[in-house]
Amino acid sequence: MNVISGIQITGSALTAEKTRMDIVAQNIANAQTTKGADGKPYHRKVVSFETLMNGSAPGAPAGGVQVASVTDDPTPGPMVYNPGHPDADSKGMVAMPNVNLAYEMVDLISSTRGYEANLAVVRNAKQMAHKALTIGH
Amino acid sequence: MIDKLFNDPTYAMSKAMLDVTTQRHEALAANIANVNTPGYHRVDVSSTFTDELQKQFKAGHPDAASARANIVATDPTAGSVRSDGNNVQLDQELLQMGSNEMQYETLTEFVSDSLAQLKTAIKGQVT
Repeated sequence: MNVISGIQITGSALTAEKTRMDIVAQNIANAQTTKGADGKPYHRKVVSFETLMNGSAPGAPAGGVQVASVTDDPTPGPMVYNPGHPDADSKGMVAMPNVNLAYEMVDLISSTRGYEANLAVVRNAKQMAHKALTIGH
Repeated sequence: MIDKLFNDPTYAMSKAMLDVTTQRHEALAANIANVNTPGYHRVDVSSTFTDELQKQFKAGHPDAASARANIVATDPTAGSVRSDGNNVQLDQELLQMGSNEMQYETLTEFVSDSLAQLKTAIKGQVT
């Protein structure tokens, strides 16, 4: 029993959305990284969510949400002519990361809005709990 | 004799409805939590359950239906599936949540008022 109903559900969503924001931050930070630990240019990471089921029975009501996986976006990044670059190949071309700032900003806004919506749920739940606690007063 | 006071049909009915409202809040919270989950289908208090509850209320068993499991089910009427297969509409969910909260508030006020009435009857004076 929870005083504030659905708090685990909303809590899991806040965690998931924040993970998504962290990944966006990582992608933007690495927008110019031409050499990662594997010697290759950085590949943008993509987060995918999955529903956390509430109990194992089939048809059980949906629960919270969790990060299912963080995968690399396999699309190749652009090749840029920059012969002075230390990572340039013999023709002077440099393989750049496949980070697209516009995509990242859209993801960032979408996760911010999701986070805000979940905070609205918490406010709502708190008010309901408050009302329940003042029954008889 | 005191049991009778707390098993008044309208009182028992509002207790059952408070439970349903809490369940609905959890369903709506799950929908908002999964607004970015691909393939998620929104859930809500099922219409078969509300029909059943109404029937039970009319038959004079205000408590019977609230004990039933599977109150929350996938909403078959939800339309507008996005390209990722998710059919949650954030604005709609927040609106529903607001009205659900108002319903909860109305019920708690009702329960509080009936308790106050009872107190008046016990004391024999208006507090």
